[in-house]
Amino acid sequence: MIGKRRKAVPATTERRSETPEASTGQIIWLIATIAVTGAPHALHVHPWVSLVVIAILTWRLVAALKRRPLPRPWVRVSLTLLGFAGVLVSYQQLSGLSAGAALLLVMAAMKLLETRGHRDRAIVIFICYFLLFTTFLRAQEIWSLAWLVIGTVVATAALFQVARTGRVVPAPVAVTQAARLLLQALPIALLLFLLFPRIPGPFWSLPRASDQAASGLSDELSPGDIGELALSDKVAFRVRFEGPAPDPADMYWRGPVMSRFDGRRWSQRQSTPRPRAAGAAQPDTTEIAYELTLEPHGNKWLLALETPIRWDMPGAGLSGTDQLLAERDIDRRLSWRGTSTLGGPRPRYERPDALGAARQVPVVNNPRSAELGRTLRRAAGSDAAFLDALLAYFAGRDFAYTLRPPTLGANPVDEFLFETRRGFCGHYASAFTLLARAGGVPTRVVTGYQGGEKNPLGDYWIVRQSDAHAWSEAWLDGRWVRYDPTASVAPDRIEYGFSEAMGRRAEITRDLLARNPAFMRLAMSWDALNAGWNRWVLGFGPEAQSSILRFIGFRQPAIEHLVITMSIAATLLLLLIGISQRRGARMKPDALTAAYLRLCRRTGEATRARRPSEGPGEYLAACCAQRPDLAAELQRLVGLYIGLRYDGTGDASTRQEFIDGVRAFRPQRRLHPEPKNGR
Amino acid sequence: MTDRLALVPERDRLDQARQLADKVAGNVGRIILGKEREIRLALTCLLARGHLLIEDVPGVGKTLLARSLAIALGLGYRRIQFTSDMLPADIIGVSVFEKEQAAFRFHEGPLFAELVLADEVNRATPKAQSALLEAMEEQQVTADGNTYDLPDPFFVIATQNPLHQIGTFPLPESQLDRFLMRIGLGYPEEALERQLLTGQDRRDLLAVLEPSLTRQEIITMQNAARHIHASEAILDYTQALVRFTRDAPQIDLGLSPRGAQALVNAARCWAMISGHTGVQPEDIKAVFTSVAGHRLRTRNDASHPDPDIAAFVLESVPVP
Repeated sequence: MIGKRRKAVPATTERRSETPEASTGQIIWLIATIAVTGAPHALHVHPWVSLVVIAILTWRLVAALKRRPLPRPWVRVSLTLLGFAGVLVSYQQLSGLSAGAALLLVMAAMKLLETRGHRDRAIVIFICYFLLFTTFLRAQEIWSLAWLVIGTVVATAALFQVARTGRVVPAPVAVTQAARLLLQALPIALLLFLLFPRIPGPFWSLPRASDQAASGLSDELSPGDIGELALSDKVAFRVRFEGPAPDPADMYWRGPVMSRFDGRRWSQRQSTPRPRAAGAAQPDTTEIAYELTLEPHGNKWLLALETPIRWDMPGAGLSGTDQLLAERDIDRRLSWRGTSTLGGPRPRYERPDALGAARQVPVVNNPRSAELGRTLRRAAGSDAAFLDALLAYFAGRDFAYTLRPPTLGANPVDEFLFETRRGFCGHYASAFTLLARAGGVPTRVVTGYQGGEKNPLGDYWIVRQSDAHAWSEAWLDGRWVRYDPTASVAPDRIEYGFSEAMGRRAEITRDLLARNPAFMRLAMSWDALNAGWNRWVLGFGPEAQSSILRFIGFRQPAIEHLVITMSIAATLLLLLIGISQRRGARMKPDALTAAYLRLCRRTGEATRARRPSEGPGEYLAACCAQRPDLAAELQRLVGLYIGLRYDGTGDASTRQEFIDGVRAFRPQRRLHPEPKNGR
Repeated sequence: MTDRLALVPERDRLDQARQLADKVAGNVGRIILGKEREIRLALTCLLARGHLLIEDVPGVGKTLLARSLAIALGLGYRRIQFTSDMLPADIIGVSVFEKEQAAFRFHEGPLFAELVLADEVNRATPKAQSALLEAMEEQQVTADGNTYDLPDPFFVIATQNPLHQIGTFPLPESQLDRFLMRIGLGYPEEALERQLLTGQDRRDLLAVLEPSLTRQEIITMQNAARHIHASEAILDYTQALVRFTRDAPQIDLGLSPRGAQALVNAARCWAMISGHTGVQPEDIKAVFTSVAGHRLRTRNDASHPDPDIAAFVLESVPVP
């Protein structure tokens, strides 16, 4: 056995007795750990980094299997410097997510060429732990949790292996051991997750990688933009209503408002919007409270349900165009609670310059449309009748809704209204707004999302990028009134949501899902899981911590309370773990001992407790002297016990006889004998 | 001589062993009053093939106990009075040139007896002591290059005076270890002492004492004791005791493996003469003080073992 162990240590020339070289098994574990933890980065770093890492891993593997000596120090130093320089040249920097991950990967692999002592091998694994965490900087999806679990188990198992002198244990043993260790650490990790004070706001601002272009609504609208968006199946946000959900047809999620029109492109006004508080709501309208979880989109848009009246985002406010904006750009997933009413805003004061901007009609193009607007306004008796006539205009002509409209030339609205008559919401909103403006009514284009899809499993609504929409708002009787010209064309579209009405599902995989209820259920379950992950794990922040503290009983939660609660809970938890470990370490009494201890306890209640150092015979004698009435039964039972325990004469039946006898033995139920005088 | 112990079922053999032991204890107890426990311990020591050290002040009946045991057990008895000018040859014997045969002939010393009383063993010089102790260990003596076997059974009862007396050479720990047990006799109780004063001279009683056991029966009992069951539980308990003596801060020198072995062997014999089928915790506890007392060295006074330390150990270790 000893001889075999010695063989397992490769006989390299550099071997020193105090720092034994790693065994082949340990090297394989290290290589596997780097491979597993580095894999998520492989797609994101420069290809040469992956190639170099693979090459070094292969080299090290071969060297370990064939017992080749490791490269000399100067080779290692030059390789390290080369790797360093390579990263610097490729990324122009050493910090940042991509460069940092690449550097870590290369250096972890290089460290494999220097694995003389236990310390060296442990360092490799700690770099791997760090690599694992950097995965979370790239993606915080639920699958990354699975990756984290796998990677942590592998790395911990590897740590377990390299800590051994001599041979490694079989993989299942190491993995089980690692899993057990991690499970034991889980309560503490959970506690820290729940109670470790969170810093409000983003902890660090990560430079977004260029390949992660945030798709969403645009700052600008020129018909054609939203059609591309509509094809995207990505989730824009999720909503959980704190009451009955409104009719999907009434769900207008307000995004950017476009007042400027250059004849081709709609854009927001350049005025710096000063956030203000909510305007008063219409009376006699029902309030709808909801919690909205936004996917990051890089803008300040909170996409509130029309019309927002209350929100819990500090620093957020309504812009000049009634759009709810956050204080800073939304670069990470964000949840906020709001309350809206469906009845639209109350009449309010609007600044003249805003109204003027909303009347502007570019003179350079679309002359026929402007003329049509003026004509229709003259025909109508009032602004309201004029706007209704405009809607009727779209409904009466052979306008068609399509996602693939023909491209439009220099006078896009003219071409759309009088020639192609095919388009989607952007086209209709654009045309409607221009016509209304030509008729002298201040009108603007509003972009956002409309409708949503209910997840029956999660009791929440999913709003996808395909639900993006554009509509108009006209200044009527001192307030902005919503007009959705697309609704006049294709009413179904408004009723059921964009994708369902369009029958375009054949283009997307969701078609398959829709036809197959089982698949649909699966897809919905997956989304529900993701929503839960977002809400309970990623979205867990200071607000949730305060609610925990309030639940515990603090009236005004502060960070100190959090720290105190955490310390107390951690102490209790560690105590609990310690006690349970002690219990487990203690020898478990078998049935025989348990029965004997019970006998002693019951006898002890009737006479005196057995001292731990007292043997059965001694105790029996003492008890019999004190309670002669019990003597016969006690002698029988203790005799059985001694036979079983010390004489090795008893069998299963006497064992049972003893256990049953103890069960039936109730000395305290009998009357105590009167103590005789003089004793 | 009929063998009353051979070929009888175990249970009966145990009963017989207990009866024989009771008989010996009873007979000796008529001479040494009120010391039944010590008599039984001495008997246990003999059955475990160990040697006995009796440590007490003069005049409490050490010699009397040894002599009456010898008679009751039917063993050949010799007494060696140790003195400070004693030489090893005075113990083991000497080769004398005999003119008739024109050769040396070995004259056996007083050691050649089945039961040897080494009186006041700590009065002799270490040289003489070691001659005795070597013989005890090997059960044979070597003189002038020849090896002579000592009789079987061979049982040494050594007595020693408490060490604070003048002109004594205390036995070192390594030699104390050779004795399976060390017991003290102590003064008799008041009533028994009165009985002692009014009754016959104890020496006269010795003359009428009959042997209760044969030599063969002793050997059979010695062999039977080895088959007394020592369960896992009892071995656990023994090891717990031994571990405690090694770990306890009050104890400088704990029980050696030989000490642990001695403990179990002595407990087996005690169990046998108590009529137990297997060793019980009480058996271990009964012999523990005698077996372990002289092997433990307390921190405070290395030369003089604390008599209470064994009781302290017993009280500290729970019975499993």
